[in-house]
Amino acid sequence: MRHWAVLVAMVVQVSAVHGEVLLSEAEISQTLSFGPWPPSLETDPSNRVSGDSRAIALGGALFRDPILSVDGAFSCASCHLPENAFTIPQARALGRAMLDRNSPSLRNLAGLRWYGWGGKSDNLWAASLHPILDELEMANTAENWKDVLQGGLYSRGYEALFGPLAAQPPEQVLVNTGKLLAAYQETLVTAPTAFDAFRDALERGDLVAAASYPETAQQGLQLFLGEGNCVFCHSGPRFSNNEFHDAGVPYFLSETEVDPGRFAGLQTLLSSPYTLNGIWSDDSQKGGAWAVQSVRQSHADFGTFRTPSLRGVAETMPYMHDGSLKDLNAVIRHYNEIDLDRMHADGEAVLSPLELSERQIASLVAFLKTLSEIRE
Amino acid sequence: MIRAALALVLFSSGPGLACGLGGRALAPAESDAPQAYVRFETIPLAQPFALEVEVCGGRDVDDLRVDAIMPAHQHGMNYVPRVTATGHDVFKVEGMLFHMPGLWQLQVDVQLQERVVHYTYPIELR
Ligand code: HEC
Ligand code: HEC
Repeated sequence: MRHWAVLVAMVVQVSAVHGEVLLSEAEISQTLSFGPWPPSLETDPSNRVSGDSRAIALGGALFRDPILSVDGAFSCASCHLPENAFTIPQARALGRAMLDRNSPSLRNLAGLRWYGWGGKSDNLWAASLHPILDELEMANTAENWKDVLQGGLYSRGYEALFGPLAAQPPEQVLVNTGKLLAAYQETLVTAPTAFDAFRDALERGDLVAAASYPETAQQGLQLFLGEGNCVFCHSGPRFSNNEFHDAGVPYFLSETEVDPGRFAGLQTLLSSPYTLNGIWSDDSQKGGAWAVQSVRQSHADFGTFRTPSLRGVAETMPYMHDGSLKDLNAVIRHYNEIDLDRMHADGEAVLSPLELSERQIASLVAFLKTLSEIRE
Repeated sequence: MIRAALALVLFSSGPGLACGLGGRALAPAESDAPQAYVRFETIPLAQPFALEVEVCGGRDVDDLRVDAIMPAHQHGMNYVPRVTATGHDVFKVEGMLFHMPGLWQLQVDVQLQERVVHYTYPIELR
């Protein structure tokens, strides 16, 4: 790795024709850690139908069908619009009442350690069955859903995968439905972008190709790695450490109510039967269960939220757990002017007002946009 | 002469000398603490990893606890690592997770019969 990095330093001097690679050796090696993309697809051992093409098709159909709601009011797609990067253009999702949070985009979810803004699930099938039961969302019950499924057009597809419905307790039917929805969502992956072309070119040592990545985006990347401190939390191929932080977003829902974030997520998680440590996981090795077994509860969890992935981020405005920031410009300005007195969790010492210039703000935004597909 | 040398070799190949092989010495808080070593491979960022701790000197370790903090950021790990004894005074530590790059301080508390000894070891994660 050293060798070509030195090479970069040498060649950069002479590559004036197409623009330059501005990064230092250290920045290049950090940049490589954001890939390769997409990650190799591994099936989820806790979900016996993960990767099964029939399950993916059936899960995709269920995802778009309001039949999952007790009264046909919503489908999953009502709050995770497929034509809108599987999120919504509004700040907060509207269920039977206004929900407290923005719907996350459902792309690149396979294999995460935590799901939801507060990490109330440790696997994708559990995250997919919560909305079926939630009173403010689909408000269904396992019993009712089994009845509906049994009498309807999905029963044959279901039985081909999981066996006769009649013999299965309603809770098992519910979990299996979550597994179908998860199998579908695992296939939602963002494509490689201009950033990945740059990163892969650096890895190959192809500086001519790398130099076609715009200089403003490179400057933005340098800020992301350096002065901006972004990489402290937005790390790895997904640009997320998948842990919980207070990024200085106000957490008041009203004058008297707050969104406790990770604090509440952990309470739900630790009392949930649907974890990787529970009886509904199909993995006899209980892979991944170590996290729920050994996660530490702390008062500092209060008002922290899961670091979102930045892959495809230009398509998923508005931003933050409450959708309070309308575009990427607003997000950078938020970090730029972050109000430390408003921080609710103690000590995210990496966050402090950045005092970036207008040009620097624009280059950070330009960089973030290269994490999305460019559509002509 | 030869016999004496042989005796010395035999004597020193007990648990004492080979202790800590391939490990990095932990820094004890007190000077009269037994030597202790930690072994680990490249540590991945924001992914779980394991390490091994060995306490030397043939003492009986009653209990061993491991934790880590980021001194500059005033926070520790979001997980409680699991420690299991895998040999005499050798411990496997699983479920470690460093969720941010930067300087971490490994903290090891060793419970001997009469007292607890504290050790630290700095780990820089990029
Ligand atoms: C009424 C709107 C609404 C409906 C209907 C809805 N969701 Fe969501 N979804 C949300 C919101 C809001 C969140 C964030 C919740 C949280 O942080 O706890 C979310 C979170 C998720 C997550 C976690 C994503 C992540 O990044 O961790 C998954 C997975 C998900 N929903 C899948 C589904 C599926 C599958 C359905 C249908 C069974 C569904 N949702 C129905 C609004 C909705
Ligand atoms: C201390 C960890 C941390 C640091 C440092 C950090 N972020 Fe974040 N980021 C988060 C968390 C947590 C959220 C979600 C906050 C919330 O919703 O309350 C977030 C949200 C975002 C979002 C919104 C994504 C979405 O889908 O809603 C963007 C964009 C973003 N960060 C970019 C950046 C940039 C650029 C930097 C550097 C200037 C940065 N972050 C620094 C943790 C961090």
